[in-house]
Amino acid sequence: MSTQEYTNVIEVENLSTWFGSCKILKEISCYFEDNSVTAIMGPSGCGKSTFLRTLNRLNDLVPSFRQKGIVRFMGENIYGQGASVYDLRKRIGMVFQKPNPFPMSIYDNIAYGPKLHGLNDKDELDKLVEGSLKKAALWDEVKDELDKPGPNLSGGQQQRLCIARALSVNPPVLLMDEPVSSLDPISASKIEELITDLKKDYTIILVTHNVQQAFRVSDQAAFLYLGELVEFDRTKRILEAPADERTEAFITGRIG
Amino acid sequence: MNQEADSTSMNTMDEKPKHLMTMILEKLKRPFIEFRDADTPGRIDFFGRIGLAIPALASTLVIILILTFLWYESAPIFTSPEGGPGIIIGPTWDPNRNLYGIGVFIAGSLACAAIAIGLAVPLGIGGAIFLSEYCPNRLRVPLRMIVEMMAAIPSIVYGLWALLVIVPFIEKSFAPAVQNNILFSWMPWFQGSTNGLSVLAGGLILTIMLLPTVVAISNDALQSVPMNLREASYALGATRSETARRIVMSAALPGIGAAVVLSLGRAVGETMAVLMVTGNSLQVPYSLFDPTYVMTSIITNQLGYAFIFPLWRSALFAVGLILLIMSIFFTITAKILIRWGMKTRGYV
Ligand SMILES: Nc1ncnc2c1ncn2[C@@H]1O[C@H](COP(=O)(O)OP(=O)(O)O)[C@@H](O)[C@H]1O
Ligand SMILES: [Mg+2]
Repeated sequence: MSTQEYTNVIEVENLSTWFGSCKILKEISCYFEDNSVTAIMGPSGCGKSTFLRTLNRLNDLVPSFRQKGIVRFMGENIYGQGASVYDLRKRIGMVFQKPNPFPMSIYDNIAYGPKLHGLNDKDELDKLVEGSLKKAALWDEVKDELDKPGPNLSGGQQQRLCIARALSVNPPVLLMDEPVSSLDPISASKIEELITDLKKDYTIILVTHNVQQAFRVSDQAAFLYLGELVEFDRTKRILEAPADERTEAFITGRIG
Repeated sequence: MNQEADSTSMNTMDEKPKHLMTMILEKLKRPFIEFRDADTPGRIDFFGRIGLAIPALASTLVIILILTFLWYESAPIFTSPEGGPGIIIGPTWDPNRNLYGIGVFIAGSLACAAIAIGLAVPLGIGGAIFLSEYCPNRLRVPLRMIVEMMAAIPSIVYGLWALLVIVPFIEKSFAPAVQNNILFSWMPWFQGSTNGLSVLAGGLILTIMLLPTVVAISNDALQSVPMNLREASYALGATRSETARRIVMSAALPGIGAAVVLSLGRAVGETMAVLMVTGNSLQVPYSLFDPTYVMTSIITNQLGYAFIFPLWRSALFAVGLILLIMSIFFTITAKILIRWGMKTRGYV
């Protein structure tokens, strides 16, 4: 991709998406600033995951998926002609709701991405694996057993391994789809801390079901309801003084 | 977790001082005590456990019985001066002169099986990857049905077909083509004139017979790889083929291994089709076009005549015994490899 001028790392304009004839997202416009955490909130089924997976074009895997509108990543329309989906996914990392380490060693889990993109030098890979694990706050726990299978780690460690794996190709943007919802509270708070740390170097878009969590870690927040972007502003503003009654209902726990 | 571990360790501490016999007795009695003390669902569960243990134990027993029986029948040849353990590598089989070398059959069987496995495994895995990763859903269902139908065709039908198609093909097209080609003609495995009945024909028909098993079982293994592993790979910028090869294949490898185990057993054990196309000539094959004699064929062809000659008969049972040991050996080796693969993948 070229180095176009851009103000926000990701800008979404009038984005609508369909699965078959079912319209999931409805004319969404928002933007994500460099080095910020944006929380995407909303009740189950409102399209949070769909939105996230539209940003890295993972929805392209679903044959019935269609989309309209513009998503700009670093100034370039990712759905535009000639845009490389592989290049895009390399530069937008993703962490999933359920930890999904590959059935291979911890080392290979992390080396997978860089190897895919042509890095074969053993020393560099070693350094990269160490660096990624450190960034994901997992290095101290696993440094002596890098050849152990990733799926043998505990749930929280697995999720941090997945974060390390996403960071291994050094993407400027990290998408996280309810990364702690399947974890115990202690592992969850560790990952929350990690998200705050990672903000220094990455733009993070975090889907969450949990209002408190959004309040603790995010700078901006978006509230989705039935595929509609109801509110999009500073997190503090939205949570302290919701402008829409649906947002208020969600925050106070009446819907969701 | 911890509590459980504690309680088991305490149990073992209690039992240590006791005599070994009492321990075994207690272990044997425990199910009955449990049964007496159990409530109704517990009792049903007990019967279920016993009911399922019977077939499991029975199959072990059957294997042991068959091995004993084969050993008993083949003992004369292994202990007589005409035979002895050396027959395993003996290259000459001539019961009229009391020569019972069964090495020739072992070589023939291994050669056919090697060709079949060497072709069927890569082709079958390739086909399974196509079905599971590339094929549109609409096409996958009918294709799978055809594959499963192929597995159900009786082997004698495969044999008839091979006799009419593969054998003439080797004689009229394949052999002349490679033997007249300067690139291949010098290779030792393409030497000799042929009437088509050959190791190659046996290997090819075995390949075709193994393919459906390999494809169907590998495809199941590939399809059971969770979607979220594929997604994780795509999300790192992998292409479809990179994901299929490096993630899906690797994750499914233990299951694919199981497909290979099954086909190994069938490759050395298959009889009719191979018997019909290998030419049944008593020679160790040196070229793909040489005819050969496989272990299953010699038993089928000669057991009828051999029954009144104790040594001859015994030698045929020895072939059966070695055949069984070979397939047990293949299966165990493959299982160990699968186990190791599952360990490194964190499945066990
Ligand atoms: N692959 C798909 N095919 C068809 N419909 C889908 C697919 N994925 C999600 N949907 C539908 O899109 C809607 C939004 O789903 P999702 O984005 O997963 O919600 P959320 O993550 O907010 O809980 C749901 O109604 C769901 O049924
Ligand atoms: Mg979701």
